[in-house]
Parts: sequence; C-alpha cells; structure tokens
Amino acid sequence: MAIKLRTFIFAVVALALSAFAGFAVFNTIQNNLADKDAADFQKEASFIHDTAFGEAGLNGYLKSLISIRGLFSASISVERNEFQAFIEGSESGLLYPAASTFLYAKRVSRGDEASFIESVRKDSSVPNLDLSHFSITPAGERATYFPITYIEPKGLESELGNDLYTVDENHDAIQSAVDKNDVSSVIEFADSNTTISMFLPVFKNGVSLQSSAEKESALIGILNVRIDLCALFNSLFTNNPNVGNNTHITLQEINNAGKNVYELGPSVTGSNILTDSQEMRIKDVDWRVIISRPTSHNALNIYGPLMGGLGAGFLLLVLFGVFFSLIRSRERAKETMAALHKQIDEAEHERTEQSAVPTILFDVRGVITDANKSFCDLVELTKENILGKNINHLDSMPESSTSRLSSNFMYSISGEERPSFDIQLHTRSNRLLYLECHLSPEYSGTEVTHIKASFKDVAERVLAQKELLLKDAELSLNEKYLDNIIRGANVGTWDWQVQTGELKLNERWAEIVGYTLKELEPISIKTWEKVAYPEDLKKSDELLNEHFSHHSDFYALDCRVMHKNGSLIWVADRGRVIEWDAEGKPLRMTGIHMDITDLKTANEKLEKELIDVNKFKLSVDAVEDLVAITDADGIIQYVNHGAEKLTGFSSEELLGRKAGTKENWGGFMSSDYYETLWNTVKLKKLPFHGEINVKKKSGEHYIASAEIAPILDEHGTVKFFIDIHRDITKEKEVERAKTEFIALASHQLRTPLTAINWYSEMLLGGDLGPVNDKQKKYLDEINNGGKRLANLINALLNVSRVEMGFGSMQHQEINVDASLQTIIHDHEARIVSKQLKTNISIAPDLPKISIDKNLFEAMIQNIISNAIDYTDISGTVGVSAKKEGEYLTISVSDTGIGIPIQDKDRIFEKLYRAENATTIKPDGNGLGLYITKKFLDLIGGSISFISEEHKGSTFTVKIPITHTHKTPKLES
Amino acid sequence: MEHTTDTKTILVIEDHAPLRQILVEKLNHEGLKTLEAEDGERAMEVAMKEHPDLILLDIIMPRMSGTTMLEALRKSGDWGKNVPVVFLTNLSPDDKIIKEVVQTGPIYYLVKADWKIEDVVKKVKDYLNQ
Repeated sequence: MAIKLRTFIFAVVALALSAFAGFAVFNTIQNNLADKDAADFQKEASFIHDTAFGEAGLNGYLKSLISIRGLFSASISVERNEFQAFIEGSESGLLYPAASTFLYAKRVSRGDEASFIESVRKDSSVPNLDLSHFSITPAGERATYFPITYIEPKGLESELGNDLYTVDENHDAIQSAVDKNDVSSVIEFADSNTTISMFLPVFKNGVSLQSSAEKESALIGILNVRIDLCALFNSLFTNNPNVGNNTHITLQEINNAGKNVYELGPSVTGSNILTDSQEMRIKDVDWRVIISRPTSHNALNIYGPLMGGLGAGFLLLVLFGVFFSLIRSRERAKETMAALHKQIDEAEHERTEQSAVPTILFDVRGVITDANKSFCDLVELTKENILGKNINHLDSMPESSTSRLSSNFMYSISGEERPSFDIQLHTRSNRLLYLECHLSPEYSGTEVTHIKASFKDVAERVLAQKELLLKDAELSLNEKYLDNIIRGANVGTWDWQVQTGELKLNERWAEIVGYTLKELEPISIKTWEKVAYPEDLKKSDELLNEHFSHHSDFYALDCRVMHKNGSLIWVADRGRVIEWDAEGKPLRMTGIHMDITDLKTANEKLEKELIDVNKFKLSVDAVEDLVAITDADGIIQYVNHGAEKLTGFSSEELLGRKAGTKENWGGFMSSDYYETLWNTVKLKKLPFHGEINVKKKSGEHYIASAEIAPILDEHGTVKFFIDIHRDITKEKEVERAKTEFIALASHQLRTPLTAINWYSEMLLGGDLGPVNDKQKKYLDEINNGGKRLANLINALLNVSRVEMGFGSMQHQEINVDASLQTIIHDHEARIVSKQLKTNISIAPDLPKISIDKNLFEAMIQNIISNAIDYTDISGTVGVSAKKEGEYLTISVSDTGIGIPIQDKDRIFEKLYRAENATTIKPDGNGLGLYITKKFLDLIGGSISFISEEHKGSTFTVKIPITHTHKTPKLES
Repeated sequence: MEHTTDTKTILVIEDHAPLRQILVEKLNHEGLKTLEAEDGERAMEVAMKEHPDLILLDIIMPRMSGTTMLEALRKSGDWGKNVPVVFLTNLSPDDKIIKEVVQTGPIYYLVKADWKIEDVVKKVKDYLNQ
C-alpha cells in the first residue's frame, strides 16, 4: 500500500513536475520551433539539391557518359559487346532507371557507307542480335553520316542505323559538342517525360585537337545519353524519407525562361511557406531547383493548445517523440546520403572490379587507392602490393613512362579530360607490358576526388609499330645501301609496270645510251623499244616471255642498244618480276643495265686473239723446225712438236730449262760463240743468225740453221726470245755434193780446154814456126772458142753460186779502189784497140767492204766489159765510185748502143739478151746481168740503169757497206 | 846440183802430161830451166833434192794432192818454208779446197783455163825478177 501510495505520489509529483517542465519546455519549443523548422527545411533542400545534381543525379549520368568516352579512348575500337558490357555494368550504378538510351553513333564518311554497313551486318559479337538488315536511315547522300551503331538497353535495336545528325534538334548540339570537345545537351520538354539528351564527341587518340579543322578530322563518333528527367527525379525523391510529404520540388532549366522540367509534391500555397532556390550549372545547362513547403509550427500551434491541458508527461513524451524524430530524420538523411555515396562508390568499385579493363584508382595525391583484379592479374601482383603506392614511385615503370603518367595525372586532377597515352610497365616477373593508359577524373559533386586509370594491353600495336619503324629504318637503310651500290656500280636501273607499260629509269640508264633522262621523256616501255637493237629486242622479248611464263627465274640478256651517237653499246640487261597478279601474270618488274661494251669488245678481241693464237700455235706446233720461246733469261717457256721430234727431248724435259745448254741441245759450240750470240740478242737486242752444231738426246749431232730473235716490249725491254732451228744437215750434204760436183765438173771441163787454149796459143804465137794467114785464122777460131767456153764455165759456176744463195758466199774484206783499178787495167788492151776515151772517177776515201771477192769482181768486170763491148770505136766509157750514206755506189757509163725500150724490163732475166746486143756480140751468154742482179739481191744491194737506145747506158750498182748478214764460220 | 844464179829452175808439177809438156816447152823457150813431176810424191822428192827456184803446182793429182804436198813442203825445213809456190789449177779460186790452201802460203793461184800460157810464164818471170 505504501509503495502504491509512494508510487502514486511520485507519479503525481512527477506528473506535476512534468507538467511544469512540460509547460516550460513547451514554451521553449514554442519559441524555437520556427527556427528549427527553417533549419530542417534548409537541410532538406540541401539534400534534394545535392542529390539532384550529385552522383546519383545529373552529374552521375554525365560521369557515366564521360566514362563511356573513356572506354572509347582507351581502346582502338570498341566492339559492340564491349559497349554492351560496359553499359550493362553501369546498370547497377543507378543509371538505368532514368537513362532511356545509351548510344554510340559512328562517324562514317561518304564513300565508306557500304563497307561500314557491310561490317555492321557481319558483326556477330553480340549473340542473338540480328544485324543483317542494318542500313543507314534516312537514305540519301550526305557528306558525313552519324548512324547509331551501338545502342543500349536492349529493345532499342530498331533505332540502329538512324542518322543522329539528321535530327534537327541534335544538329546544333552535336556541332557544339565537337567544337567544345565537351558535353552538349538538348532538353526535350514534355509533360510527363521531359528528357535531356547529352552528346559527347569521341576523337581519335593521340591527335591534336586545337583547331576546329583538327577536331573535325579527328572525330570518330558521337556518344549520346538520353535521360528521362522525371524518371530520374522520381527515383530520387519519391518515397524518400529525406523529402517531406509537403515538400514541393521544381526543377527548371534556366535558359529556357525558367520552364519547369520537373515537379514533385503538392502545390504549396498560403503565407507560411519555406522556400529554397538553388542554381547549378552542369556542363552546358543551368539548372535551378526550387524547394518549398509550408512551415511546420503551424501544426504545433494547432495541436499545442489542445494538448496543453493533457499532462506534461504526455506532452513531454510527445515532445521527446518530436525531438527524437527530428534527430532521427537528420541521421537518416545522413545515413541515406552515406548509403547513396557508398552505393555509388561500391557500384563504381564493383563496376571497376568486375570490368575486364585493368583499372586502378588514384586519389588526388597520386596514391593508389584501388586496383581491380584485371590490373592485378596483368601486373602479377596482389592488391596489397599495389595499394598505397605513389604515382611518382612506381618502381616497375620506366622513368619516361612515370613522367608521362604524372604529367597527365596533373591535368586530370584539374578536371581536364586527356587523350590516352602509352606507357610501359614491368610485371613482377619482369615482363615488359606496353599499355595504353586513359585517365579520367572521378567527381564528388564538382570536385575531383579520384583519378581512374584504365589500361589496355597494346603490346601488339606498339611492337607492330616498333617493328614497322624498324623495318622502315631497315628498309630505308637498305634503300640507301642499295642506292649507294647502284651509284657505285654505275648501273642503270629500270622499273616497269608490265601491264601499263609505265617505265621508270634512273639517270645512268639514259647516260649509257648517251641521253639525259629529260631528253628521253616521255618515258615508257617504248623508250626501251626505241633504243634496243631490233635483233636483240626480239631476243629480249623471247626471254621476257619465258620469265613471265615462269620458265625462268630471272631475265638476263647481253644485248646491243643504240647510242645517241649512232654507235652500238653492249648492255648487260638483268631483271626479275617483283609483283605478280592473282592470275600469275607479271605486274611489276625491275632490273638493271650495265654498260659492258668495253668488256664485250675486249672479250671479242680476246676470243679472236685466242683463235688466232691457237691457229698460230697449231701451225707452229706442226712445223718441223724447232721453235722455242724462252723468257728474257733464256728459260724455255714453250717448245713445239718439231723441237721434240728434232732433238728427241720431250717438252717436259725442255720446259723450264735454259735453252741451248748441255742439259738439252747445246753446249757444243765454243764459249765465244755463245757469248757473241748472247751479246747480240740480249744486249744489242738484235736477231742472231747462225749455223750451230746441235746434239740430240740420242747423242747424234746435226747442223741447225738457227735464228734467235729478241721480242721487245714498248719500252724496248726484252720480253722473250724466239729460237728457231732448222736441221740443215741434209741441205749441207746436198750443197756439198753439188759444190763438189760443180767443182769437179768444171775442173774436168777446164783441163782439156786449157790444152786447147794453150796449144793454139803456142801455135799462134809462132813458137813452133810461122803459120800462114789461113792457119792463123783457123787457130784464132779454136782459141776464141776455147776462151768463150772458159768464160761460160765461169759464168755457170757463178750462176750456180748465186742460185745456191747467201750461204755459198765467201766474204772477205776487199779494197774497192784497187779492185776497180785492176779490172780497168785488165781491159786496157781492148780500150786502146777501140780507141775509147775513159772517164775514171774513184773517190779517194772509199771504205773497205766485206764481200765475195770473186762475185764482186765478176760483176764489175761484166759491167765494164759490157760498156766496152757495146760502145762504138772512139766512144767514152766512164767508171765512178763513191760512198753514199750506207752504200758504196759504182757507176759505169758508156756512149754505146743503149737498151731498146722493149728490152728494158727483161735484161736481168737469165739468158736474156737485148736484140741489138746479140747483133754486136753474138757470143754473149746472157748470164752476166742475171748473176749481178742475183748477187746484189743476196747482199742487200741493188742495180739500176738509165739507158737510151743509140745514146748509151749508165749502170749503177749500190752495195751496202755493212750488212747484218754475217755467217759465222762453221766449226766442228 | 846447184843452179847458176842467172838461170832459174822451175819445178812443174802437173799430172796431165800434155799441159806439163807444153808448160815446160814454153818455160824453156823463155830461157828457164825446168824440172818435172807428175804427182805430189814425186814432186816432193824432186823438190827436196833439186831445190827449184819456183814451183808451179797443180792441185788435183794422183797419190799426193798439191795441197798435201805444199803442207809437207812448208814443214820440211827452211828452204821448203820459203820457196815460192804458184798454184796452177782448174779449180775455181772460190773452191773450198783453194780456200784451205790459201792459208799455206802460195804466192798466186791461177786458173789454167782462164790464163793464157804466155801470161802464166810472164807471171812467173815477174816474180823471179823481183
């Protein structure tokens, strides 16, 4: 009972106190509630504002648009399935609810439509998507097309192929987006589903985008996101505990004269209204959001007095409830925001994590805060290894890549969208990666909070480029090398488009035929046909056809071409087809021309010489005489078959040995003889002629007539010697036999003749008593006959000797003056008897000459006796002798009968006598002038005459004072 | 037997009798003493025995040729070395045999067929009178 009482009392007191306190509190609340309501409203407004424009709202879509572009920038070409995966990946990121469309319109230039359509139709990267009817609509020719190429979400495929650009509303926006390289938006107002369509241009990577022309040419496509604004904001604010039921939200697009884009909540009227209006520019659109609601204390004022009388506790409870609810709502708003952010971040993280694109996240300090699996796999590291590293201290990255990454990073944190760039990165196993990196800023509101770096393995491209560069370098090096070779070798080059006849030549090609390239213009295959020698052109065509029909690997011909100056030039023409068409016909052929005229001429000459030399060798080989060629020291280089036959030594035994020594056929002459020989041929460099005693291999000897001649070069140096031996053993024997016969015959003839002459002389001389006239006459006849016979024998002996040749001469030094005087003296009696005047003029300083005395005297005697014989009584006979240069000239003149014209040509013939001579001197034998002419021919002299019939003749004999024909005495 | 200084003796060596005979006759006719021989051997004997003042020497003879005899004569002693010898032959002067004997020192060689007998004697007398 006491407890109950106490409890009751406590309850009453408490109630009273509570009532008191309740009143007190109520008063306070009454005073502060208006302020509180305004603050709450501000918070609500901020929430609405932040949400509308934040990550969950417009900015989020904007970011998604930019990140789609990032996809395009990070990749050379985005495949349909990649696009799909990317957008679908974004679905969980709250984007889809409001986004009606994500699309990519590829830019297609005129002329490329067909191939573009073809490629789209063949695109099978997305399963179950039938693109076989894809085409660009509307049809018609335009400079540029922007057909919708990819579109998400599913169900919108019918829009594929529609040309974005042909929609008027899009036109300016697209143009503006390209010009600014930024988002450009179009808002389509409608009662319940106003949409904003945002365009973003996609440019080629790594090109300058300074001028509009550059942008225009770099543009590869347009990205477009269409957002249903009503759907967006409904999703954000309806049933959102942070938004009061009474709260009215209005979204306006300012530039469209405050036209409402969206409205939510009941209309707010009356005087107690709280209103907030905020403006925000998102890219190119200025937004205004107006939030309004009635004040909350109106409600308190209505209910407060009604409740005032009900216990303080109740009121207190109510007030606590109000407090609590206020605090809760604030916390919930916070929680919701955090949850939203988290959701966004997680969605982003999830998107990143799940993405096949290797991606890492940097905070603004450049510290890696996240890395997706794909990236970890790529660099072969765990996430723990990666996180916390600073952008400037990535030890796995070459310095150049680090600095490139850093500088791009700096741009990115200032919100600038940068094109992708290449970096290199080592994996843990030290494999070098070639990556394309794209940095995109991540925003919180308008502030950049993170930088997302997405990577693409571009090793293939980089290496291909490198290889290409290397190849280019190598090629250009090769070209340079080739060019140097071509220049160095001085070869003409040709490059022929076989099917069109187009021909490219270098300057040297023209030079070979005596032209400049300019002079040959216009150059085509006709140029070649014009200069080629017709006969060889035919051959060339045959060989080309052979090559074209794959019967030969190369085309090669030595042919003649016509030089500008009319001469023929030999050209080595070589070539090969370097491009064939699909049917195996030649497309392009290249080759060279080399001037080989000199070579060819030299070759021809050489060939001819070789033939000549061969002929000569064969001839020489066939000769029966010994022919040997020795070097300047007498070492045998060549011997003919005759040498082998004659000496019995084989050529092997002779070659390389000194000619004419005891080793082979020599050594049987005196050392003086060899010395003379050597001096003559080696020192005096004169030919040597002689008869030498030669030994055969068998030991047998023979006599050889040897001619050894030095062959000199242009400087007069002995190059080699030619040694020719003729075996004259038999000739010598014949000669001896003949000489002996003649000697014996003449001896035997002369003996009886001497008896006849001497006995008739004795009788005529009266030694045996007187003879009568008749007897004397008869004895004279006998005696004259004997004398004529003796003369004839002498003449015949001389004929035999001059006909035997030089070898039969017996040279000795004679005094010409004395000889002439003796001969003249011998004719004294006849000169006197014919009363002839003589005119003798012998020069006092006549040199001695070496000559066959007997023949010389027979010659002079013959000429002088002719002069006496054929000159009438009282005529004049003149004899003169003088030295004239290298010759001794002896002239014998007379005033005799002269030589008839018709006989002049024949008087030196054997046994021929001029007609007038036979009359005057019937007993002449017709041998005198023959012997004289023959003799002089043999010793290198000459005889000439001037004669006029009935007036006289002058015979002039020229005898060489020295002559080279020396015959060394035969030794044995 | 010594010759008188005024009458010179000529040794005529000639195998052909008619020529020897007429030469002797002619020489005698011209007042010269003569000795005769028909071959080289005989001539050598006579020459060595009689020491003639001059020798007319044929070349081609039986038993000993003129050249062999002259060679022997020149080796036979002072007289033989110096006695004048005239070849009287029908071999041509450029005949090989003549060429050889020229070295052995005859004073002349005369081709019989080309010489008048009168001129031969004249040549002999000219030499003896020197």
